[in-house]
Amino acid sequence: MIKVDYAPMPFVVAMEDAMRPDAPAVFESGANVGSPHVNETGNVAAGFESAEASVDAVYTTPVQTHVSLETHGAVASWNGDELTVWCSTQGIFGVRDDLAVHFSLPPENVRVITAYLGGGFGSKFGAGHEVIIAAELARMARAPVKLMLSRAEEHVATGNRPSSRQHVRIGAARDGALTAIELEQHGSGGIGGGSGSAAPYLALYRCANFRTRERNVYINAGPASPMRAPGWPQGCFALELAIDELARKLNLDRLEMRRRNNPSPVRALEFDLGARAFGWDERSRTPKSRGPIRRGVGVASAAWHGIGASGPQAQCVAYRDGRVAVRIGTQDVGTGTRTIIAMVAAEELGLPLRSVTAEIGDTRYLFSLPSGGSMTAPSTTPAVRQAAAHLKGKLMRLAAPALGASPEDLVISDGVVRVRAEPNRAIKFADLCRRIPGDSLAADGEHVPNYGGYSMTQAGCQFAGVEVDIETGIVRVTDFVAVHDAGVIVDPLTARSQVNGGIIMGVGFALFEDRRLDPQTGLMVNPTMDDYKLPGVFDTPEIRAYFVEVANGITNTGVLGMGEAVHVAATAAIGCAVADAIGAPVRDLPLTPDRVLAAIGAV
Amino acid sequence: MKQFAVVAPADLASAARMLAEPNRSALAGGVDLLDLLKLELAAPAELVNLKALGGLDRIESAPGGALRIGPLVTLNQLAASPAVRERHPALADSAAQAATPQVRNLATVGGNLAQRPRCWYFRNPDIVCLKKGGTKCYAVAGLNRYHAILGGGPSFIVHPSNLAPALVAYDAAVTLHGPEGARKIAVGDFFTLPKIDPRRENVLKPGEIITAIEVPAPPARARSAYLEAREKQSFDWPLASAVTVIGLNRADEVAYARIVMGAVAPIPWRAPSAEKVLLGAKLDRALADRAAQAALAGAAPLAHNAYKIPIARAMVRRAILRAGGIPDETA
Amino acid sequence: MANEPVNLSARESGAGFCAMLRTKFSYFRAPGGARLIDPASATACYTCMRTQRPFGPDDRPAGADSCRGADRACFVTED
Repeated sequence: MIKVDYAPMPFVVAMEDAMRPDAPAVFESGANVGSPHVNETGNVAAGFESAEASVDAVYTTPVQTHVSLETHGAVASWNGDELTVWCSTQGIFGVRDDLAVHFSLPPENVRVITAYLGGGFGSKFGAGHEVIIAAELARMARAPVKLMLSRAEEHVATGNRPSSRQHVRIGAARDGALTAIELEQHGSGGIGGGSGSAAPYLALYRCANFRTRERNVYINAGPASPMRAPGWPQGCFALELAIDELARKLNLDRLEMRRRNNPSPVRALEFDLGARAFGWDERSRTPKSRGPIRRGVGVASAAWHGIGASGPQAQCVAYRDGRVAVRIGTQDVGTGTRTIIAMVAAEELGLPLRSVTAEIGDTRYLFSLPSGGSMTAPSTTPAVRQAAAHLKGKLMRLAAPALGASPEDLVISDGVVRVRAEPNRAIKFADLCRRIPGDSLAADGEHVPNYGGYSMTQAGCQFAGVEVDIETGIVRVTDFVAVHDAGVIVDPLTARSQVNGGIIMGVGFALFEDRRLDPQTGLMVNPTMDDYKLPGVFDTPEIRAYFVEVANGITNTGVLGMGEAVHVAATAAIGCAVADAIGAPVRDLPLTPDRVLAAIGAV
Repeated sequence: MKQFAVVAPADLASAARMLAEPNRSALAGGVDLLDLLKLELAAPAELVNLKALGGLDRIESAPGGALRIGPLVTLNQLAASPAVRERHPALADSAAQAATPQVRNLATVGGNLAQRPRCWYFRNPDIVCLKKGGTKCYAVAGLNRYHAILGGGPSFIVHPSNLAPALVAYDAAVTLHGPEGARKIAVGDFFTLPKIDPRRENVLKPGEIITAIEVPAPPARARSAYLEAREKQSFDWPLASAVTVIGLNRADEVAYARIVMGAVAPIPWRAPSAEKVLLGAKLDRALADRAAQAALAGAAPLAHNAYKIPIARAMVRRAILRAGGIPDETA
Repeated sequence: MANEPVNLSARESGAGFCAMLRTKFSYFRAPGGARLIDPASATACYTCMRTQRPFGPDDRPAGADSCRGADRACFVTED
């Protein structure tokens, strides 16, 4: 029996309240407003002096929560001093190591299994309290314990995308060339930090003079955690709306304004492709209205660094019965990792996809990195390809005596090993496997350090079309064109699925999602999937995805991650389209009817 | 969620007796009830399963067009019924636009009328508000973007039923069976304002069960329309809805008018002043606009929900135009 | 640059952080083998392994600045 006494304490849940000098201190040890992260280049004052036009405006974005369909949680089971945990995590090895630290166990005594994962979006790294508690309870109960958080607990306690208030000043010369960017940003990660949003200001467009200052503000609310391109969707929304406002002042086409400041030759190509597919020229110049329904279009730039890192190791095994397994201690956060790993191994081994089984999500396999930062595909596929290549080498050496040829004269395709010069001298893969001396033949591979390659930045852009009912303020996103560089596309289906997901999450951030905290009680009033509004099927636009497959030469697969690149611009493109539709920017997310009606002076 | 038992009553009288006991809840579609159980806003020891009673899941239509709707008729059944679609299209549409196909397959007409409000303070298990026996309505000084703009005080919930405004507009009556027998009241009288009792939304007494909804045949040359405005187009509650039922005389003047709004007040909100604007006049855009202005003339918004006024106004105007067969340019 | 997107090869990984300090990239390693904790990041969210919360057992915030160097009683030296 535990008896708890509660005493109410002063609290603050609105960022602007927490910034006041007399606000309750969230931490007794320090101020609510943190010291700024500053980035500065060139001469901002001179940049504004040389500007033909400038925009000075404040943009805000709310706290968005991850809303993974599967909440955080785990099943923990002890056998003596060995702990097995089935866990909803983006990083099985991180959870293993955290549990080993917590229970003072050698890491090999902890096994973490994540066969399937119902989403994470950045919120599931390491052993959170729910995993530690499940393991502690299992130890005390001497029985397996399952602990999955409720949806309300998930909303409140497992992380979120921080809020932002972005005071933007941006200037441009008569030809549209940006002359200065200044950002004064505050954001709240609740009782946590990490609310910066300046990154896109520095990366998306060319500008010689910029200064960004980012400050985190503590409030009494659940802590932030990384969420799908941390800082980027917030920054992109404010920056792209400001650029549209600037283009209007300069009487420039909004896409042309972006072309003139675009630093990326890949994105230049993407702008052209996207504009053609979307019909930008026609749709941006001839706004159509039907009674109270106003149509608008918007375009926004995306960038990310979906390049991989070393660490992952894979094992490829051929069995006497002709099966091939590829094993790697990664996990599928919902991006299709399992599928593309099998595809890469099958292609390298010259086998049909159905002969290869990908086995992931178990710390008994060789190490791989957490699935975050769009790094899973570019980090795992090179290791898998190398393992498959090494296995192929062993198989060729096995086949050589049977075919009376040397291994380097052999090729394998469609499940048959042939002598290159005499294709009729051949052995089927299944027959070859029966020559395996034991039960299996295995080979390992690893991600070797990136070769360098064409670029460390991947470019993208997205075009959005919206309809706004100016009598109700209700916004509908009608269609999207997304153009992205993700290097070599291994599987178009799962790649397109990531684009769809990134845009749908952007629709939610643009139109609906907002963690609402009651000022009287500090409680979140909408911690359900009913009150916390998420896009449904009729809220989802028609989405067309195009891939510009840049041969980047970074790894042996040339694959880039794309989970974040496809999300950063979506909300901004919608925001720009809404401003286009109603002839006035709505500078605060979400773009709810009250704000749309206020922007057009209807309330 | 607390443990409970599901019991099957043998007949209506025993169902009423069971439900008159403390700690009992009626189980129909179970849609709202399951939410309330999960939030522990209801913790009944027994659920009295009305599906055990036969014959309550039918739509009967009389030759003149009157309807008798069983309380266990599902929203999809109502939305798809040719009889309802033909003579009472606004009722069919109000059912068709609720929630999702999955919910509409389970949710019943009786449950839709008796469901509890969606107010996020009421639904928060950590808050004891006026509706739960507390001392204040947290919406007054709190987050009230979805709350009442008409008829509020001391509680500011909006009634969540999609069907109720249409049933009021068609002059429907509801039959209630209780331990002391049956009574029949107008649907408009079934709902009750918070100023009478903030803890309840209707006049159901302990043990009373909705056993029938009777909708009279519409008036001569009647036309009707239902419209709702939602933030989300999938699975959302309306910000405002409007039902218009109009009957025309031989000179094409409005001889009969009902205008009822949903999601703007703690009960389905009839707007007699707007009806008066229509009566005796010929329908056109200007008239619809005047009626819509009149419908919202008494609106008293809270700090964050004044935006609902133009939305409700647009719904009323468009519902009048649609009922009158005048294109409103949004279809 | 602190706000560049993830580019591990470009990141300097510091040493001297508390062994209990966690952030997403602390589960990754820099080329030299050290955990990737970047004090210049404006988007890193920190937690403490002792509390699994964004503050340490002393109720002070966890962070790359505040959990570096042994001036907090809860500081744990990394192996």
